[in-house]
Amino acid sequence: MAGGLFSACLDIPSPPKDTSKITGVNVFAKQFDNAIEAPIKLNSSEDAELIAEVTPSKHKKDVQYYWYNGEDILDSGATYTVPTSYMASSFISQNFIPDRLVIEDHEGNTLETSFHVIVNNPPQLLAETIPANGDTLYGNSHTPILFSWQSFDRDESNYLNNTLEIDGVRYNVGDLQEVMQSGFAMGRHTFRIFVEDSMGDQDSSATQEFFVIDTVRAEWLSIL
Amino acid sequence: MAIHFIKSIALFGLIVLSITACTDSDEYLFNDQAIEKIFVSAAVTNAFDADNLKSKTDTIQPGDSLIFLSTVYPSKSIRNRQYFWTIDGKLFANEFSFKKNIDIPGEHEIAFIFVDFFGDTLSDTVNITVASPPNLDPEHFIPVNGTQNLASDSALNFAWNASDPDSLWNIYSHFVLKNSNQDILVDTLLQQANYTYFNKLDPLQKYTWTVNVYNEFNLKSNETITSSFFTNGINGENAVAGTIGTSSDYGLYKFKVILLDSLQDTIKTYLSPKSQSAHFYFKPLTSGRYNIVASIEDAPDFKPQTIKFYANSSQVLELDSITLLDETPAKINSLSGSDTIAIQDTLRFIITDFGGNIPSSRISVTYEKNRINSFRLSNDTLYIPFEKQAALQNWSYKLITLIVHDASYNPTRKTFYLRPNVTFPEVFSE
Repeated sequence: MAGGLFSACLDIPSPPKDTSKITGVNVFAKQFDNAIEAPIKLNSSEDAELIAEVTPSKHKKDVQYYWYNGEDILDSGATYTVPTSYMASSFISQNFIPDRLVIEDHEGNTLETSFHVIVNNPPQLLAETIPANGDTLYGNSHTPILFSWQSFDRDESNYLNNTLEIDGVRYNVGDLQEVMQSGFAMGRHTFRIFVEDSMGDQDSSATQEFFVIDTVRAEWLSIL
Repeated sequence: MAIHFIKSIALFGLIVLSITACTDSDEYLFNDQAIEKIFVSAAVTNAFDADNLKSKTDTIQPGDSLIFLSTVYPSKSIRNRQYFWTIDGKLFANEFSFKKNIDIPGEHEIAFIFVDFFGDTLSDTVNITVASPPNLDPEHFIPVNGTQNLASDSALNFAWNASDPDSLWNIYSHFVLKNSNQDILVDTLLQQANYTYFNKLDPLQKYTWTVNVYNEFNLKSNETITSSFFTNGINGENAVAGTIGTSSDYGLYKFKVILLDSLQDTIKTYLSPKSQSAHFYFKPLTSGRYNIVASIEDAPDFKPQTIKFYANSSQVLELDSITLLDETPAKINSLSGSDTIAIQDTLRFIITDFGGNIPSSRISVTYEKNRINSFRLSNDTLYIPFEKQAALQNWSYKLITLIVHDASYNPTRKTFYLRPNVTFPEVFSE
């Protein structure tokens, strides 16, 4: 009986393998050369990468990486490329962008993390603006000039904030896409449009130029 | 023998125990009624004045100082281990009460912590919000001040640049739109820094809009936007507007503005009620040359002004303020028209001026270097009571000087000679 007790005490577990030292796994994204931590928000107009990060990082080559969407394995490897085609529609992105990463060491131990990738369609500006690039406009410094453009976003729920820059001065016009502004001296002037959605993605127009000719003053001087 | 002794001791012990058991032990129990509870409180105020309001919360601007007050019951002099204040968990002060400013914007919890002699920790907190007033760019907005030709029958967009310097608080804009009669067309609070007016406006009218920005604590921006614009005319019609005033700083006048065409024929005449200044507005005008003649009907000392202008482009031409000048001083005469006048009980002079009423305060009368204040002005006649006895005893001429400033402060100085009733030989023959 005493011998049995001693033998029970001698059943010591085997020492842990190296993989048991991995304390965590995290996923971040890389797009436009920027690292994007959670919440991961991707701009649908540019390819992106999901990158697995194990802690401590010295074990990153000792494990296998499995990218899951629900119960389906999408790919394996330390990174997962998200091409723009995967972000073209919400249906595709929901099925081809992983939401879970499982890592497994050579002993079969696993560790997993869940994450959520938000695909945001950036706002867009149509190239046509009023005034058009190179337009010549007639009036004096009191004559209002119509500035009109079209910005839109495929994510319809997004609020678009438009900024009109005239001669280097920015006017935050909110959701307006058409304003009348005056105060233009004779000569060359420039303007640009910037638009930003509520997720922080932006678009901007090229700098447009227009010319103002003060015909009112010329007529006034000729009559007097 | 020994057993008997032990039994005796045990018996004695039982007897003692039975006696002590009957003792009233209540007087040895802890009585919490006899203990005075300790508690602390914290408050803020703006001045050490005893009447000043103390509160548990306040909202201040960065850099503003507050007075932090603590109270310890029953007394601050009870024995303690330590006391101190913290702000958001970090040490803030080591005094019972003190004055200090907080620079970091945000919502702060400030705690007074008191550790008593027994190591018990007591505390009370006050909550201070530090917020900067919002920013409003008073120079860059849409449409710019003085914009003309804005369509009266289509939506009009306004936009301005407002921001919260702390990037912490919600801000909102107070937008007001008025027409030229100061009737309020829009008076609204907006979460966004733009507004679209969808209703129709009157053509060829001046409209004024103002914006003030507030944060969620009702702190107002230091800047305000006040701007105006003009709507366009229908079928190329124009308008002209302006303000007319005078060089007088107090007079009330009937202003007259005549609009003449290029052939100098009168088109329209505007006559204002009596006022210090008047605003005229002529519309609609077809394109062409015009003249405006501005004058004051009941004050011809003010020189009329003629302004030429050209109306074009469906615009409202707003002329600069027209100031009519009175450069003609008042005239002072005796009743006889002579500079030499006879001594009388009441001297009378005529003050003639066509530049508005002259108050008595602008008239000065001096007789032989002595100022006379007992004069009276009625219509254009100045009455000066005169003690002629002194003059009668003298054989020489006396000087009386009048100085008058008219409504436009043009000065007139006139000296009259008072003729004695006696002559030099008469005086010295006595």
